[in-house]
Amino acid sequence: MENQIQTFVLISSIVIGFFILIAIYLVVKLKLNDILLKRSEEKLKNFNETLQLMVAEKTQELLESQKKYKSLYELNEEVLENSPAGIVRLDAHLRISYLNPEIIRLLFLRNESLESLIGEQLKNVPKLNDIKLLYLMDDLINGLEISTDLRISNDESNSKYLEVKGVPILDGGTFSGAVLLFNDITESIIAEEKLKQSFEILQKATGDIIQAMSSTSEMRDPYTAGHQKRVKELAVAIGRKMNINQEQLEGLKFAGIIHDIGKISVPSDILSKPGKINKMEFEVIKNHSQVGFDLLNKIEFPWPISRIVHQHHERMDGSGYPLGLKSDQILLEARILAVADVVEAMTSHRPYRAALGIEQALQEIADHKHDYYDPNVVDACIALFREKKFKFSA
Amino acid sequence: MINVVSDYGPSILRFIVLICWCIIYKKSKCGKINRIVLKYFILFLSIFLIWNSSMFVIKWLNGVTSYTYLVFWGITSIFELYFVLKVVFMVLSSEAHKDIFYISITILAIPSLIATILSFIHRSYNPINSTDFFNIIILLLGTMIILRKILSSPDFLENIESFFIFSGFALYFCMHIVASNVLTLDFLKNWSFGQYATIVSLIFWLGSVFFIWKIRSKHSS
Repeated sequence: MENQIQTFVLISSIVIGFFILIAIYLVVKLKLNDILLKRSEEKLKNFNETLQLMVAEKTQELLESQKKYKSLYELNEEVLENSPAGIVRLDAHLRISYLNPEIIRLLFLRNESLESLIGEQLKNVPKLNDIKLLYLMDDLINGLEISTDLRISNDESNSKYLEVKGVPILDGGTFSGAVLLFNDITESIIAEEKLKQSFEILQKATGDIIQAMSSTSEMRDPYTAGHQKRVKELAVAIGRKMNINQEQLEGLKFAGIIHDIGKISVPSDILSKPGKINKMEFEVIKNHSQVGFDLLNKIEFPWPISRIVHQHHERMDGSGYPLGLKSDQILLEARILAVADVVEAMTSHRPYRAALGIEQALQEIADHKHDYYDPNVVDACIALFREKKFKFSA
Repeated sequence: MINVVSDYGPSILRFIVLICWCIIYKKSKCGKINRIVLKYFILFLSIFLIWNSSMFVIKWLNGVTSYTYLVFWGITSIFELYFVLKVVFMVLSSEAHKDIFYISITILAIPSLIATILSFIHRSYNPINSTDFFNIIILLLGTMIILRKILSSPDFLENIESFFIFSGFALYFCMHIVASNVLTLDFLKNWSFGQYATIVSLIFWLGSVFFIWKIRSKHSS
């Protein structure tokens, strides 16, 4: 009986214990839910506060950027409105979407208002329907920058030159419009033309001076009168045949006409001596290249005239004078001049001999094609006489 | 059968509970209070296991059993008081007053020591049973304070193991009061109730392991 009571007490105790455990667990669970709820509330509150703070910060940033944007926009508008360049914005269909007031003045569009031109096709706007400009629009559409000049005239026969630069606006590689900039370059064009005229006058004056110098030197040596002129003709013809550039050709022309200017230092007796000259006299004559260089080197020419004159007696193998220069050390113009000088000299009369004739002259340069003379120059010279039938002027 | 359960049930259950709570202690990454509570609880279970084991070994030696029982009763009584008082001081944030703590534990330990000595001299368990009754009342009060503090603490989730341990203690002490109340129930006659109280408490602590695991896995993130 006692055992039964004890068993009953034990089982009931265990059951009660379990119930208590479950009850405690439920209490714990409730408490945990409460804690979690409080924590969530706290987190939510913190999040809310952070969110409010962030919203306030972002709003402030937005207001500031809006302010900045506004001031930038105003500045941009001010710059565009007061720009000394005419600005035209085109849309993807080459219709005008914006243009600044300066364009009206630049294009003499007094009868047009800015608003009336908005939306117009470029080809329908007077003065802008220039065929050259319209032709370049294809380049713009293809994404290329353009640059051209326009001459614009008004009814009162006033004209101005405009420099037009166009920049395409690409949206992901697709043409979405363009900006054209018009700059008035009338003054610089006029200045350029004036400068060109001045340069031409200066060039002519230089030529005249050189011609005068040439004539002065030839007056002292009647036998060689006209030699420099003929050498110039042949040298220029060879130069043309060899396709040297215009700049070199000009230099060659002027150098040719005064290449013997140094001979003014050679006594007339030696220059006009009918017989054979001795070694000492030849040394005096040889000095004329150096004298010519010294004279011309003091003058600032746009071409290396003094050096061409200095080197016109140099030979390819270094046997020439006065410096004994070799092949590429000698200027091309000097190499041409050397051939022209020899050919002309051999075909002319001299106090000490009769003219040897063109055939002998050509034979002479052909014989010394590599050692004395530039082979290209020799070939060009021979071709001139053989194919082009070159003749010296009287 | 009931005698087997009464004699060996608590020891076997205590061993299983000890293993389970050792695992919890190993895996626990909680706060300082929780760590200390777990540590003392494991010590508490271990002392009882040693007590039970020693009783099995020496139960055939005449005359020694009662002395051994008295010694272990003294040790466990003082340890229980130390454990509960320590945690009470911790939850009340009175750790700084170490001197007060030591004075308190000394005062509380004196009756248990005297009771042990008196029981030994008079060869009667009455002194220790009477002291045990009052000790349990003190421990129950301490446990209530601890539970209240843990429950109202914002770190409740972090101290969930402590809560279950002291809930078990509350059950344990309540049932022991009923079992050993010399005023209402005859001690000798209802001796087994004390054993049952221990079994129920151990079952509670064993069941707690499952609930702790469930709560921890749910709230680990």
